[in-house]
Amino acid sequence: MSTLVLSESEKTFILHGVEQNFRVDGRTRSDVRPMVLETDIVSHASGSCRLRLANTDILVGIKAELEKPLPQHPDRGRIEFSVDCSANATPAFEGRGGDDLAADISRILASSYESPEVLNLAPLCILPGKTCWILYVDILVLEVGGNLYDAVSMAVKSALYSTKIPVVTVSAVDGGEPELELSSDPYNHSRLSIQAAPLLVTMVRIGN
Amino acid sequence: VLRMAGYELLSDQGLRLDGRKPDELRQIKTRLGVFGQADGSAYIEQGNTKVLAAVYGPHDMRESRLRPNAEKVVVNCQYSMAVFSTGERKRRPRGDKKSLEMSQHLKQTFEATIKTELYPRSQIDIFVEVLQADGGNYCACVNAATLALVDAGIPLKDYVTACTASLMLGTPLVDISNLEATTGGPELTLAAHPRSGQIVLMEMSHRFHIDHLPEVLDVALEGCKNIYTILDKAVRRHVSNRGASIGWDKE
Repeated sequence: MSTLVLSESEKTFILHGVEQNFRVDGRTRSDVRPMVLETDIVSHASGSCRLRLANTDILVGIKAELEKPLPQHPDRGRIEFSVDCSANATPAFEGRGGDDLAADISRILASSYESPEVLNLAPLCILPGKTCWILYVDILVLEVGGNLYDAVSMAVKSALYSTKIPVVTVSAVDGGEPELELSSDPYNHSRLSIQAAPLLVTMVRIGN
Repeated sequence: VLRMAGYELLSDQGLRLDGRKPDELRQIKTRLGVFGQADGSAYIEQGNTKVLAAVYGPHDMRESRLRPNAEKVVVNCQYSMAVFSTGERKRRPRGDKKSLEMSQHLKQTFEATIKTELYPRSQIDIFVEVLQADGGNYCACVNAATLALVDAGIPLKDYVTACTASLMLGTPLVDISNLEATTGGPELTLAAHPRSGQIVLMEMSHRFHIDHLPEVLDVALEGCKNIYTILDKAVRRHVSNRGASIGWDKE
């Protein structure tokens, strides 16, 4: 997190540069910083991604588990976001220091992914009203170098892309509860369609 | 041959589950200076256990929670595990009893290693983040934090390295993985100053018979010394790489 204090002349310098479409690091107003993206790095997780956007470092791990669906959506799977701001990024995040920022990011992600048109959770339903897949999306913020929300949304989308959901076969047992069988073949899995998964874009106004 | 729950922890050929010999360490990969923000940072992989460490300091005492010490630096450690680091998803990354206990252990370890008398009325923060846990978490944290402290340029009395050891049917094993820890015998965790051989922290998961303790302790200490050799080489390589760009190796 930036603890930079700018003088008036520095602020004026930045303002004039932006007016001329020239930012402090040489970019134009619409340029994005270099990005490094890597998926499938956490072996325990169903899907994962590490995104490095210049100085911003985000690690996302997605675990798919079997759960009961929500009563208001018995035919859909579930997705839950949780963010952890690591103290590695800044000592201010020690203990519960990063909780406010974390809560804000997960709230924004939860509301972006709320609509079924964004991410169709229907394929994650196994037995309507009884069992469905729940995707626990866990985001770890390792370093903050600006543009945090955008980086998090990109990392989440990539992690969802890499997520492998094991194939489940339902066998109806006579007179008893239907039995679920997870495929033991590691290559037998389904993927999510993330075409419509959202990306956040942050805009900043400097001067006019 | 010891069989537990269908696993052969030590085969007839004397090999462990992951193909290692009893006195063999897991593969160690290190990187120093991974973050620009922190004063010192390091990343270590010991087998499948992956830990990131960041060091901030020495700096002013910021919070009133910790009281400044007029004679020594205050060492503040935080142990945190990523929610996806374990096989079963963790509910909370930190703040639970186990994490707080680990933080305390790390604090004790580094208070005994850092030259604390050099920075009175100041604070050094050590933050470790376990990205993947596969046994020897505390050890990987200690090793990563040592590298991070070296990267931060904080004077140390000696390196501090840590290693686990166990006993399987009379054969001592070094560097225990998660599977071996849960299905095997008692686990001894040792943190030591490798050059002097002085023990900084020692913890046992279960009781050892007094007759067996010395040999397990020796194996753990040997492990600490071998880890020191690896870490020292990594530090020297890192420094020569950094220095090469400004011509340190040329006279």
